[in-house]
Amino acid sequence: MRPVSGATFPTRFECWAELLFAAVALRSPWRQRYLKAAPLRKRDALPEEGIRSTLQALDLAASYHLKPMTCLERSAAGQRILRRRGVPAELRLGVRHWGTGSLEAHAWIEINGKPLYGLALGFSALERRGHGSLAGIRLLSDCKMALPNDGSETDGDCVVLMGRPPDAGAEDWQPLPEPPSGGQAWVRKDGRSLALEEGPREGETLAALLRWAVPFASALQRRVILHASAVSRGGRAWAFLGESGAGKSTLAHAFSQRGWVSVADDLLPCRLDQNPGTAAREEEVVVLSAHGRLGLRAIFFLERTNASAAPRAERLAPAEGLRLLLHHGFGELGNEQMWRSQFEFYGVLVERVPTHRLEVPDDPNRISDVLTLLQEHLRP
Amino acid sequence: MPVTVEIPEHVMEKRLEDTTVLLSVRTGFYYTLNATGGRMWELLREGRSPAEVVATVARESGEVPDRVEADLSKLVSDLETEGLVRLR
Repeated sequence: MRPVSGATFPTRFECWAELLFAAVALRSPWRQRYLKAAPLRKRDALPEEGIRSTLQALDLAASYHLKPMTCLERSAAGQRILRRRGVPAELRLGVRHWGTGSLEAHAWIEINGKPLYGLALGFSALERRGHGSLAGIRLLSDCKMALPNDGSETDGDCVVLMGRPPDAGAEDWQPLPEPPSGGQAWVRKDGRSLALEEGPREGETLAALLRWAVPFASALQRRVILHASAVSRGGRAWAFLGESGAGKSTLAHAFSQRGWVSVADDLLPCRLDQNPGTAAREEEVVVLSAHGRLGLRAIFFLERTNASAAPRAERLAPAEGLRLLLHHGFGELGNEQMWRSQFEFYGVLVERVPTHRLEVPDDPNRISDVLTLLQEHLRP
Repeated sequence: MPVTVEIPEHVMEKRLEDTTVLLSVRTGFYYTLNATGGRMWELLREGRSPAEVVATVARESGEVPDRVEADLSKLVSDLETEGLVRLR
């Protein structure tokens, strides 16, 4: 159903034209200038009803535009239109990383710190208390992202530029491989900046782009992210790795239903840290999560087997563990520095953390058999 | 047999128990060497000539030098094919 608007024709045309300008400007070298808050026109601010009808006009214009308009384009255009009418609107970008691993990213408008919920733009997905971090990286947006202080662990900062970097051709920036979700992404060589350009598809493109790009930024910051799910209990964590569809998420979810805490569903940031609990403050491998630093006790590589076979866990030699970590690592970037840091970390990891091959029957009804088997291995 | 065998900078290694894992950070490909291959690699890494490697490994393992030389020759050839060593 098409939205309706009580705004005048000139306002509707202004919205249409501003959206077009936003779509072009966000792909130009002047992108960052466009994203900055436009001057606030000194005049009596629109009443709430006027704001509502203006945003409805914007939504209407977006529905009849030349291309599907992303949330960023609509928010950036809306911010400028409202500020021209004396409304102190500000653009925000938010990221929410659920404990189960799903990620949402969204751009929206705030007025005097209050998000515009339930209006025609449909910006209801994000709340300010959402996490501004993903896989141990705190994401700072050039759209004034409001970072919550919720105690979640972060291990580094990364500024997320919306759109193509102005100096994309410079050596400093590396294009990432083509993201499966569409769009394009670039990372600066030091891993401190990402640039994301959404594709034409509506929906979760921005979130998917972030999830794709953050492991590369993290690796370039010499931090390692395992493509793993993980559960914790008693300040310790256990990780599950495997091919897509091997059952990583299913297993973590099953543990969470038995009272364990699911700390990662897809991306698990790790690093070496001193253990304050030992006299010599020995280094241990820790995972970073919203539940704090957790000592990593074991890694399981999941393999699907015949549905009728019994689940089986087998301790691996360290070299085999290292080989499997390399196999499941994020090697798509083909970056030497990234490979070096991953290899060094993996080498230490398999010396300190036991690795196992876990054969999982290809039958979801037998997940309880797997949990029973693992109870022996997962003792804090 | 080549006179010298050089290991380029883009090759990383990690010895874990009896196995040595090699990684080319240029390609992202990884390789494993058994105990004997790992020992040969270690000696090459130290800058020993192939002749010295043969003599050392033959002495340590009790194998006949001709057999060790054949093994080393095959190993070096495979490593060169994968870009993990340079021969001079």
